[in-house]
Amino acid sequence: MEPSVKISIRELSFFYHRTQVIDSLTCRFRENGITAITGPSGKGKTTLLMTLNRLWEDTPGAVMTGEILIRFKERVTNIYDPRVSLPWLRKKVGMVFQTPNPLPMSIYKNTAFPLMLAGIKEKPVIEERVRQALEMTFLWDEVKSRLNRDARTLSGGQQQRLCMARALVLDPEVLLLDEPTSSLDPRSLSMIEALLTHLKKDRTIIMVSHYLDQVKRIADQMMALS
Amino acid sequence: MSLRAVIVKNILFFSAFISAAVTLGIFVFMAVLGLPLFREGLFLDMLSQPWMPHKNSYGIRPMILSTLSLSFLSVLIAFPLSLGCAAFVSVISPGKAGRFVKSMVGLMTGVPTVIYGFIGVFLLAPLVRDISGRGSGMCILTAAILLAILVSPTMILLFSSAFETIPEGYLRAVDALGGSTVQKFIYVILPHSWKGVLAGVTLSLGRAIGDTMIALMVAGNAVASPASLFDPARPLTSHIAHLIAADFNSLEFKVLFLCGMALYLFTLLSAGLVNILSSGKKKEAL
Repeated sequence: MEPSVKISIRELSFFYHRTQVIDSLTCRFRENGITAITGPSGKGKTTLLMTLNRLWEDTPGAVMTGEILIRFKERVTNIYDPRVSLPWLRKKVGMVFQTPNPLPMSIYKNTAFPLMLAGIKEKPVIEERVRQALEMTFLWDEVKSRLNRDARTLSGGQQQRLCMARALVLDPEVLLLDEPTSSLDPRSLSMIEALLTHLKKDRTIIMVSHYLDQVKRIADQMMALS
Repeated sequence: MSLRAVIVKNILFFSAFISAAVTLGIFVFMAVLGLPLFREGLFLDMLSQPWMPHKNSYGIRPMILSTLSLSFLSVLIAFPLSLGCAAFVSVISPGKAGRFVKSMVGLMTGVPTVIYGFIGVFLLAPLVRDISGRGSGMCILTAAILLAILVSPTMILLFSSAFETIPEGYLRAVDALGGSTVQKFIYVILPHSWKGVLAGVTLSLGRAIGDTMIALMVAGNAVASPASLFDPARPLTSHIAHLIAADFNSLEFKVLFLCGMALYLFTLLSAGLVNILSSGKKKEAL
């Protein structure tokens, strides 16, 4: 695996109840920058994302073959190696979904949630990292006076930026985005695009997108699944 | 409206009316028969005095205390077990193993209570007797353990259906953030389903209060206020089931209706609480 390659996929095939959605895919994703995955519905775009953080594993009837290597800062890791712990992998590979899914708790707790899961207890550390993550997603100024309000009271665009902040608070090396702007208004959309352009400098972002103009605006490489 | 529709509507109305009327009618029946007690101003005395027929004292305080201690203790025993079992079935292992356990729990709801009574008399009571080193082993603890087994399926099924109403998006979010199954349960599922959990506890409490067979067979039948776990007791239900008096005009007999009313009120309270909780849940869903 060359140094500039972050993720290497070899012979990846994926089945849902014997229906093949991905057929022996081999590809590489470069380190840092945005790779857009495009293609018609049902071609396994979301599935491909979920093979990178193993989120598909609880889906009944799903079977995967092939190999996925990710060059993490520590070492190159075969993420399906039985010794790889899922919490560790998912802290390194964050994910944001198509529909914003804030948890039924306050804005602050939502953002701090991954830190709590990771066992970080020092309050000043948590407060600082929550603030940083919310600033990064341009949300801090909008919510700093109501951090204790239920996150579900935010607008759709704010909720999605909160989910971004939540995914970023653990500083993942890889960020998976499944059509993150499809349910958003133009203002939130441009905010998220600005955020992604900023993030891609030192992070590998894989994004499923249906919008070709968006892909042209912010993506560095494109991969069409057909 | 066609004739058929009118007939169907009236039949349905009649059925609904009958069920409501019977519930209310039973209470009125008990109230009327217990009326002499109220009239004679004996009501409060009855609730607070001991049961000593030879001294002409027919108070039901021991029975009320027995019912309350027995039912609360059984719910206390059943709660952690049911919570763990429901978490296993719905969260930790929802696959084959979970489905198997759930179907076994479903079967448990159909076991006649007298079977539990048998197990109590022949298995559990001797064991409790050996451990406590006194009495017959028929006591509050034995009955509470059996009642806990009796009410746990209700709890497990209600808990697990509450756990399963968690929106998929929440679970996905925790998974994607690297949360373990246990973290998912503690931080997201449990806080989100506390209403269902409380409803399960309350409904089980109602069942435990109303159960007669176990109370009758293994609680020990002593008409004294229980002071320890190993004391025998006679809850309200089993007191009524004994139907001790032969003289319909005696105080001994009239008191049974007071027992009935007390039981009725206890179960009414728990059912009312469940109603309030579940109506709150509906509002939240909207």
